[in-house]
Amino acid sequence: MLEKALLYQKGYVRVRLKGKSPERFLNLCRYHRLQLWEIQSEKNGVYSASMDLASFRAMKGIRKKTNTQISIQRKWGLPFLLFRYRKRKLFLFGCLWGLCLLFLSTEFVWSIDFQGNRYHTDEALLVCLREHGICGGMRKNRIDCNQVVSLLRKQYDDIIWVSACFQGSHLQIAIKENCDDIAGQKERQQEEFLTAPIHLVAERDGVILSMITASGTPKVRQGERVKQGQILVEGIVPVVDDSGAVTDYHTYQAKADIFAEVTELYENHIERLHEVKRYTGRVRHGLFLNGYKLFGRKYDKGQWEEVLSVRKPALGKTLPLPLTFGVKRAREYERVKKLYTTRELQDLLSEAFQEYCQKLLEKGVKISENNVKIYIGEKQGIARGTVRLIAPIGVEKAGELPPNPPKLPKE
Amino acid sequence: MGKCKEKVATFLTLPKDVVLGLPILTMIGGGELTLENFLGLCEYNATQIRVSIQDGEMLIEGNSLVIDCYDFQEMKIGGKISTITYQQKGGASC
Repeated sequence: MLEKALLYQKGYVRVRLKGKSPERFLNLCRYHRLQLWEIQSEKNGVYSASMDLASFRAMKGIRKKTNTQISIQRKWGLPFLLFRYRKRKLFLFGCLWGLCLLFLSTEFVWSIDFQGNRYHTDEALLVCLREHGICGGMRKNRIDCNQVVSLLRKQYDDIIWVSACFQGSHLQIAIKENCDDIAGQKERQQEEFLTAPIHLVAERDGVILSMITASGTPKVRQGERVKQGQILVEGIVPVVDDSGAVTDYHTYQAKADIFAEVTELYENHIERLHEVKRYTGRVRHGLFLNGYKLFGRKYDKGQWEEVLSVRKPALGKTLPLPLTFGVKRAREYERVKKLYTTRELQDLLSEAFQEYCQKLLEKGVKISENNVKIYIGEKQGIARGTVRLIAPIGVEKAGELPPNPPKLPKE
Repeated sequence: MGKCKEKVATFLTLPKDVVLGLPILTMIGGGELTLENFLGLCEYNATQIRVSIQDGEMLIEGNSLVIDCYDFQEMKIGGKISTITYQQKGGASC
């Protein structure tokens, strides 16, 4: 392999030898230390052989002496390649310059990626790093991974493990958050500042279907009808002595899972006359590089709908390039007024109601009865009615501390 | 003189190819032959190669004979070699 590379670097040719005494020619080449190989005998006293470029240039005298005719069949090697592209020096320079730029760009960090963060968003972590002088576009040797690790550990108490490393031009930061403690810390924080009770209050009228109290004193029972604003679970637990008298009050944040049957009014109306976009067929394209427009025609007066798709090229998975390509496609449109047909109005109102029901289901609300009807008029369509739901009920509301309990006389 | 040299080389166990200039043949199977210590090429075609050596000639016969390498030190012959004949000066063959 190495020999072939060296031979290519020197250059070699395949020649055809024709003469009266080719053996004498070969012997003279050998005597003058000229190396030949792959010598083949062809018909009619013609031989073919391979030799390097220096040997070919040195055999001029031998050729004349032996009266041998030499014709070159093929040429290989770097000298011939350079001669063939002697007028393409700028192209070579451009290739080398591109390689240099690519090599230099790998010395920088072009993106910072986070893994394992669920509570803290990427943007928040990036802002934190940026405040301490670490951001994309910096040289790698200016970023100390240990410093990044200790910085994130100090800034966020609930991050228990951090690892930072370079992968190509990416700075990969893996984070492990203490998810179990986050909720506990919040609870402890709330309990620390709980000087007044927090009740659970009904935000709408309904009938209690089920009630499971976790903390607090329940004030209503299953099957009872409640009104809006009524306290469902009180955040005060009285402390009684052996005789049953209240000696003190403990305040809590009331917690309970309460489901009630509520009746909700649903109303939705859609106008027959509406505006639609009608595309005129004129399209404009534009190409952007790092936010700057490379080419693209200006828009005429009118309304245009633009769609911009952005791509960030990368060499492989770990070498993003500091470029952002964007292709913008704009379509001209005009607003035209149209009227919905009766069938279309019905379909739209039904669809809207189905979406409303779907959202309720996603929140854990069940629909027990549906009395919504659709009315189609000349100018609009209305969907109106009541919906009976089985939904969770109870919102937190701060209460007041009760007066101090009466002190018992000493016996 | 030649016999004397040979006796001295044998007695002192000196390499004969260096002292006497004898050719060295290295053959791999019937398709590759390396020849060293030769004087020159007398004849070459696809069926036979005649090489001049110290005290005679060597004839290599076969089919599709190719000289893979030909330089000052050695010659490598490839192809289907069927016969190697050693012709000393005076016509005797071995």
